[in-house]
Amino acid sequence: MNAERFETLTSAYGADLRRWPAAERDAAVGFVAADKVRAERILFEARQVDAALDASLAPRISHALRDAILAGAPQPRPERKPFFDFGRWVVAGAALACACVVGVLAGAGAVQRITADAQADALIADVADLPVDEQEILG
Amino acid sequence: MSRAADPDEDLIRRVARGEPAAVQALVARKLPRLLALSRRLLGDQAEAEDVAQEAFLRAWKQAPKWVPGAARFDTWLHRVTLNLCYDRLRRKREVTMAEPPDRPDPGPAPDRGLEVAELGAQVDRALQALPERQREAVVLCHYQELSNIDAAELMGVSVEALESLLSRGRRALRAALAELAPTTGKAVRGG
Repeated sequence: MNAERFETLTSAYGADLRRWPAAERDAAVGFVAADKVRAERILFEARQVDAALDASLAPRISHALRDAILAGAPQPRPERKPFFDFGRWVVAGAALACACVVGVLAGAGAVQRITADAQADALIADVADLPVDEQEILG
Repeated sequence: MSRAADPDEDLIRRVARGEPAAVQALVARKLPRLLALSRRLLGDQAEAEDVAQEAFLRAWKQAPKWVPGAARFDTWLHRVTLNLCYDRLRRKREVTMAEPPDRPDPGPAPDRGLEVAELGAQVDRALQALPERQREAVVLCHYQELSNIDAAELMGVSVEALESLLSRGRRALRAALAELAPTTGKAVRGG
């Protein structure tokens, strides 16, 4: 970096190299190291302006302003349950399937019992119709 | 060239969910910057507060829709604040072209010396006396500490034009401050 460029950037960004474009900083540090007297002379006036600018204090923030801003902020959102909760549907489905299986088994058992009773009743009725000697054989 | 990660990205996501701690953190992080920006551009505390409040209202609306990667949130917020300031400055110009506005004297703050307070007030007045574009450039680069690229982008000018505005602004400030009272000059020189 030459003196002219150093002066141009100082007049724009001031004496604090942290405010300079990042790409120029290393070269600026190099210029200062190479020609300290000249660099200091260029930086002197810029330091005065920087110091004056820094004397302007930031405005105070009132509680009223802060409260007004916070009042308009997004509120916590209630947790929304998804319409299709896979886990809950699986549990409900499994329970329904179990109930169906139990129902089918119970029904099948009942039908079997009723059939056996009917067969027994029919056999007794048939036996009652037989002659006495045949009843003795069967009996 | 990819942009640097947005330091506000996680905070904005949490603000969008309405997390009270995130909302408080965003206000703590951004309000001083936005209020300082609008106060220095408008030169009026009440108007600056109105702008800051409006900018935050827009931020609250934007948070749920924020898409990371396109721009940094801080830059977007500066853009919103700048536009709100431009609107007010334009209206002010239209209303008060014939008569210069009365600027409220902020007066010395109770917790600092009169000399420093007076210097600060004079610097503020010198800033207000700068042409608008020069004032914007100085405020964005010096006080808001934006990079030259971000500041130029916000102002819609090239980096070279920004540097020209900065140089002219700082030169004018120096000339204005050189005319200040001896006590002020001493304070400026003393840093």
